[in-house]
Amino acid sequence: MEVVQKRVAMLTNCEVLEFLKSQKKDEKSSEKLKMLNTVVWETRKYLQASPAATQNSDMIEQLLPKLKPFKLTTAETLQIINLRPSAPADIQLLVEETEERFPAEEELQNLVDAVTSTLPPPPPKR
Amino acid sequence: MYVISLLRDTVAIKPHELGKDQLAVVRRRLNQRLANKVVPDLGLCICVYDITEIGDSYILPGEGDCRASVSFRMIVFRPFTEEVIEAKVIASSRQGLTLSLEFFEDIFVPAQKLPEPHVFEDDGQVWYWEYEQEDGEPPAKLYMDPGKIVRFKVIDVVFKDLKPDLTLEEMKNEKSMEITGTMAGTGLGCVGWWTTEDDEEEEEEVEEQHHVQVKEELIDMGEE
Repeated sequence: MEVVQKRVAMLTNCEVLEFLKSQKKDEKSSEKLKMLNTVVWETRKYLQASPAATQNSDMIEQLLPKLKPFKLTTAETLQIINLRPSAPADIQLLVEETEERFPAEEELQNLVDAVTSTLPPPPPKR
Repeated sequence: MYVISLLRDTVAIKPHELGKDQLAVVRRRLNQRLANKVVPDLGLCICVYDITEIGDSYILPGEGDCRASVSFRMIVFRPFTEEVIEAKVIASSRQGLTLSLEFFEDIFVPAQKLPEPHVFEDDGQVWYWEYEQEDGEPPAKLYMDPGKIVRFKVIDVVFKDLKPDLTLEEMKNEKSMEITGTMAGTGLGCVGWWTTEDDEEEEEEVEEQHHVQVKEELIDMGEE
């Protein structure tokens, strides 16, 4: 087997969960596809308990233009969608050099508000 | 956490499968071969995303299989360095903590990467973070025992080429892909440490609002 391109695109957790949900289960050959069924089931279990469980792609499409003025990198945007920070302290963890980039505390709060108003709260903790 | 990778592989289709939907057969073959497997320097394959191209097929002398070179995209678990991920503590020892994401359990946070100052309790074999309180009270012991949900930051992802002739015992200790993480830093460590009660209340409020909305919708439907 040959790896042509390591990373064509990055996926949000929500997209992965939606894709796995959309896949029909192949009942007949479940013995041969044991590994597939295991990893899909475990991934779904993990994602169902994460903020991705309550999100859908429409919400993410709504959020992206709102995040534009904050000039975040792709990786930072991805992290924000996956972890849905609900406090300025969470943003500091995900965004590098937060203090230099967001000197005004209000701006940070605006970012938090943009996220929490668009993405629903995560499912209750496990 | 997840990326899409473009891969190419040769897939053999058995003669009795030639009458079936080729895309489905190829997809199943690839899933059988790669799902839940670590590809060195790539990551853990979850499942086939789509098949982009099936090349010309050929038949080798002496067999009936129809072989074709297939290009396909795969959903792969491959965290990037500095990525923050939530995981569950599953094991604790003097060396550090082992974390689990359900589908991936080879995540290790070495003792020196735990929040400072950290103390290991022999009784119970658990780690706690000695959190200095401001009002002069004795420091709080914040435990990181198995079962807790924690956030960690990825420092490194190491791949190892495993020999195929390992015994079961050796297989358990050898990891083909291992993530090293850190929990030292603001916002890292147990999820509960950083959420203040205000946040939780706010979440509950939103939750309640949602319930009210649902109820209203139900009433509307009833009226119609």
